[in-house]
Order: sequence, then structure tokens, then C-alpha cells
Amino acid sequence: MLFLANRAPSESNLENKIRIFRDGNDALIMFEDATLACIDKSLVNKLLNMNVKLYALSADLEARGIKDEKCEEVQLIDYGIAIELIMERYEKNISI
Amino acid sequence: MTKTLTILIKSGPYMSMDANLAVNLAKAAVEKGYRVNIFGYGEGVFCVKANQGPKRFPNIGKELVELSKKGVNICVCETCSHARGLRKGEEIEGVKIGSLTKDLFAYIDASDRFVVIGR
Repeated sequence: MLFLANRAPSESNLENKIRIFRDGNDALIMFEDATLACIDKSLVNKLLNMNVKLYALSADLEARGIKDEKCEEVQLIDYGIAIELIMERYEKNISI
Repeated sequence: MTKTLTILIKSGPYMSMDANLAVNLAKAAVEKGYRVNIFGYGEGVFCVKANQGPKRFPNIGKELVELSKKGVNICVCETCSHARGLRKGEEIEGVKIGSLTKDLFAYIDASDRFVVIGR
């Protein structure tokens, strides 16, 4: 399952939604304010411990001045790759 | 066969980045050769209001007109539009004010992927 997030982790309550991820099969794309999760090491580590693949829109991190602060494990992507993940790599998606 | 993406946008423009996300995903999908449908529901119907004039943000109306010219099907819920006083004739060119049960269901039926944006 591919999860899509575009609201700030505090607004979307991402921390409490971690239980919806299934170990080893899921990925999360962070768009816009959701990219703020990339600088929350504790949150990133919780997701990584569940083997969730983490993607974030590079331009959105840059717009928020946090591109250099993001956790290493987060893979930077553009909209083209986001579409590839949605259309080809994962059969289903859920917006959280 | 070309795959189809349908995007449901439930937020209006400018109060959040939801409409921008819908537009940016649609643009990228079109560039990659996918067929794209966009359906506006709830406050999302305001994305297709004509004569939008934001001073500091990308104009969602104009972006949608450009996407429509590139073959993207755009439709908004008639009941949601009526409830908000958005009348037929006030929408941007290339947009249908249609039905949730007919048009959105037809979009979903013909789609390989369905993305929901907004709350």
C-alpha cells in the first residue's frame, strides 16, 4: 500500500496513524507540509522500524528550508516519480 | 493500454495546498502519457470557478484550463455546486458540472488508480 500525506504531521496526527502501516510492504510519500516529518528523527525511526519506504518531494523540502536537515533514509523525489509510484509501483493508495 | 488516473479533489483553492497537489499530480501524469480525470467534490467545486484572481499563488482555474486543453476530463459535483451557489456558466471552460453518481462513478470505473486529496 502506498500512503500519501500532504498535511503537517501535527495536523494529520501521523504519529498515531503509524499502526496502519503494515510491516515491510508499505511506502509513504510526503508532499507539502507533510515533508516536515522528515526532520522528526523519532517519527522517521518509528516508520523505518516498520520497514516503511519513505519518499518526500524535494521541491517541498527546499521550499520549507529543511532539505539539508532531512533524515538520510528519506528518498527525495519529484512529481514524475510520485506518479510512477502511484501508477506502476503500488496497486493501491490511501491519503492520510 | 494507457492507464487512467482519477483525482478527487475535496478542497477549494488557496486555503490549503490541496488543489495545487491535485494539479501538480495531474500535470506529471499527463506528461508521462497517462489519461487523467479530475472530479471536484464539496469545497473542491470552487477550483473550477471562472475569473479566479490570486495575487500570490498559482491560479488553479488557469491551471485546470490548461490541463483540460491537454485532454484531462474535469467534472464537479452539481449538488455541491448548487449548495454553494456556483451556477452553471460560472465555471472555467472545458469543465462539466455533473453528477457524483454518474460522472465520478464512470471516472472510477474507467480508472486504474484513484487518488483522494482533501478532507
